[in-house]
Amino acid sequence: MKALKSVLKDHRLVTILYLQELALFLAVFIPLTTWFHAASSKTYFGTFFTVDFFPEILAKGSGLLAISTFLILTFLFFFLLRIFLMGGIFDSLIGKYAGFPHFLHESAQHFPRFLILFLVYSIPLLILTAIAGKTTGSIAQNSPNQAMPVTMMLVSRSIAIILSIVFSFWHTNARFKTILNHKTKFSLAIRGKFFLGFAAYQLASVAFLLLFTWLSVQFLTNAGTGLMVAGFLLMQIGLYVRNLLKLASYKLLS
Amino acid sequence: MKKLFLILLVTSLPALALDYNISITLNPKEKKISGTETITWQNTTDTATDVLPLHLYMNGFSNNRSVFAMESGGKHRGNRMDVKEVKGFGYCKISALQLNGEDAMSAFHYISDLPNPESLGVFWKDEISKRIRPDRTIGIVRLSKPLAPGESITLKITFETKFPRVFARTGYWKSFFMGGQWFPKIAVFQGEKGWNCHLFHYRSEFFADFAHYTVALTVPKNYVVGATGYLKSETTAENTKTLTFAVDNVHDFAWTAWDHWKVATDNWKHVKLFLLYPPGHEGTVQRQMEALKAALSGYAELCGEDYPYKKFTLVDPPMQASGAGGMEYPMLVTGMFPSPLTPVGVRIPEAVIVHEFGHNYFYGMLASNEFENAWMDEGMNSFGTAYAMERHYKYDLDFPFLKMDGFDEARIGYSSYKGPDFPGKAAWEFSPAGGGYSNLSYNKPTIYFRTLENMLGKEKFLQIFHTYFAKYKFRHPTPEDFLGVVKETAGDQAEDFVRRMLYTRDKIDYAVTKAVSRQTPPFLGLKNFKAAPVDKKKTKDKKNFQNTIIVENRGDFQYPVSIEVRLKDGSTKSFTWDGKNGWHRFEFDSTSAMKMAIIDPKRVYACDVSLKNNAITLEPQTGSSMTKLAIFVSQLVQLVFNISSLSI
Repeated sequence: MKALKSVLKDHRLVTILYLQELALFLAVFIPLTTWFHAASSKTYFGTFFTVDFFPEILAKGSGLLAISTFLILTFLFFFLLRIFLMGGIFDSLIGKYAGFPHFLHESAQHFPRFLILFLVYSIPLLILTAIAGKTTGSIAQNSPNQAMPVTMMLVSRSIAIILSIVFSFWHTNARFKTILNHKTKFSLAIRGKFFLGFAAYQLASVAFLLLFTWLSVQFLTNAGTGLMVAGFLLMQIGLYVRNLLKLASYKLLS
Repeated sequence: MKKLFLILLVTSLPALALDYNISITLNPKEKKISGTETITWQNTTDTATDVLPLHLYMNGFSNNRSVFAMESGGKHRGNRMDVKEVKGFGYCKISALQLNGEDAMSAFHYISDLPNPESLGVFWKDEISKRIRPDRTIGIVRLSKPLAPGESITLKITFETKFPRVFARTGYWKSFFMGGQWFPKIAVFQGEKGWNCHLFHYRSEFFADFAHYTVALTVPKNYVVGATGYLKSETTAENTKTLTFAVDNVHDFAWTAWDHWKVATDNWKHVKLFLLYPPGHEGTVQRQMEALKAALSGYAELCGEDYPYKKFTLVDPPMQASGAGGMEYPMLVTGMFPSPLTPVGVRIPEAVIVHEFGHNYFYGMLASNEFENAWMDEGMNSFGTAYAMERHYKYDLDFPFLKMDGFDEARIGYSSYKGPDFPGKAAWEFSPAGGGYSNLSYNKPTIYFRTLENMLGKEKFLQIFHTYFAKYKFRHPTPEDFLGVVKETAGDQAEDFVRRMLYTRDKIDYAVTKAVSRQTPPFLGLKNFKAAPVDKKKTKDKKNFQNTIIVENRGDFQYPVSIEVRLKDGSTKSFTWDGKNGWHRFEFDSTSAMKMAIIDPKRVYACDVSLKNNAITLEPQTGSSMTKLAIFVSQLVQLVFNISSLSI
């Protein structure tokens, strides 16, 4: 709880991370909503919102290709931006937040090393996750019991989460070491007490995110402008708290 | 009348003139069945024949050069042919053949082993290309003397069928077996027109004569079997059991055997229902039975008569054998339930069950030629599926934010098709590109029949299907037979509509191209050649509006259509246009501004290829939905970003 309190005290770091999430939302939402409104407003779909809207407006011509390309590029940009921001965040977690210019300077300074660390830890994580998926898939594939694919899917997801937490733990330690040593450092050590605390915060952050996403969808898929606003707010609260808990897990290792 | 009676009698004779007596043993380890088959066939036409063609469909899976393999590229509905190992292939091999008790093996040849098979006139000359070799999906028995009208012949065949690793309807997965098209089956003799027999194509299914079947199936003792027909006897030996099924008036026989099957039973009126499902699907039994009953009721209403057999078997194959799913046989069909977690609002498994059951009407009893007129079973049956699903469930996809029925699906699919084909073609004649076969054989008839239903009214429309079923059940109706019923029941325009649906690319597309609502301006200028007084206080008459609407007929049919205008004060105004001369202008005054103008507001013309242009909205009502959709997608991107950056 000490780590959580510390992050809460200096909430600017969480706010920076959340603002990136919000920027991602706006980068997608503004063009999409403009397009949807423009494409539908004068037509049949301006009065009747039916399933025909999707093939007649969205899937016509190059619409789907354009939206897919746009989403992939936006996604990639924000992914790199997240790695960039982590340099400033980790520096601030070790010391304290010293203003946005300093934050940006530290982010830029650590970006190449952090990018390497990300790639180094991501590749084995992806390979191991794929192996776990393939193995559980094979077990499911060979069982006549059709409940087995569901069971194996749960097993596979659980393994993926555990692997993510383990690699995230190493990745986080490596980033702290890298900042402290001013050169790229790796870590493969597990320290029990810290690891458990880290894992608890990480799991809580994901659980919180999923819970609020589910709540948001419940509101969004029902009628009413009020519910729409509520759905949006719930998701954003979920994201803010998820980042708060995530940073608390990092702080624990600082 | 007497002549008509005689014609009806003669054309229904083949149902009584064919008998199959088959006895086979399943060898699960070798993935094979072997046994004997006795076919007794009577030539009920007035033309003699000197050949007997046999369908040996399983040979379509014997290599990657068969017509089926070449046309499909070794793929079927997302499943792939297993070409890595020899055991992935299948075949049907005839090892001995007797004609009326005498050895006639030397008179038997596989089609592609003959020097010039086209000259036999058994299949269409254009349905095979020279590079396809070998294809042994037809076997030819040459008779030493022609079989005269009225004569019978008995073939005793010893055969072995090796099942392929299932990817297209039939085959095995581990100890699971789906036996479809597993035995040598005689083609359909059509008198002067000769034999109707086709190679096994990727896109077509099957055509055969009604017959009496007796099938004895020997399987390991622990196997559970489902089959066409009624179980007549069951005997057991040390490690095996033999089940004998028999039935009249079916044109195919399928079975499934597995040592893991679980069985659920139920009843619908006089019909005993069996569901064979894999372990782990216990939670889906209720949904599957409900769908089956919805199908039985829906098709009974559409065709005017209940399913006549006393037994029906629904097979829910394991996902690993999903290639066996979604297939129809008389009295037995395979459904597909992808996961026990499939949400209740996703009624795709239900739609598959309803569709496959429906084939027991459109294929099973109305045994049209699927090779040459796929729309007659797939198209009519897809309409039947949407009809039965709507009748029982209303929607196929049923969520608060997304609802879609079978007609929506069909219209979306059909309107996406831009190719050159039309439904009235043989299955292999469709261009392989652009989804022509599925869109035109399934979707186009579905949405055009819905349009016809809307145009005629439900009662008259159902009369067409009731008459068609009553007149042609247990026969082989042709497109002209159906068109004749449409004309007789609903008149020339209905017949013309269906004919153009089948043989042209004619479409319906009504559009509102202009909708303007202007405040009436004050009168200016001369009145009776004198300057009219201007009332400066009344520069505009705010209570009067001049409205103009222009509608267009961008399609090929010239049918009358209604136009509805909605005004801001909540009132509506309606017009009718005969759909002729390309376009029409409507003008009217109102005391309230126009909110929207819509053509065909009741969606009578359900097959209209573009809904987007069916209305002009002057005051959008769906802004909130559009915003929600954008929020939903944007938040989804946020979520995916968060999950994929877990370790950053």
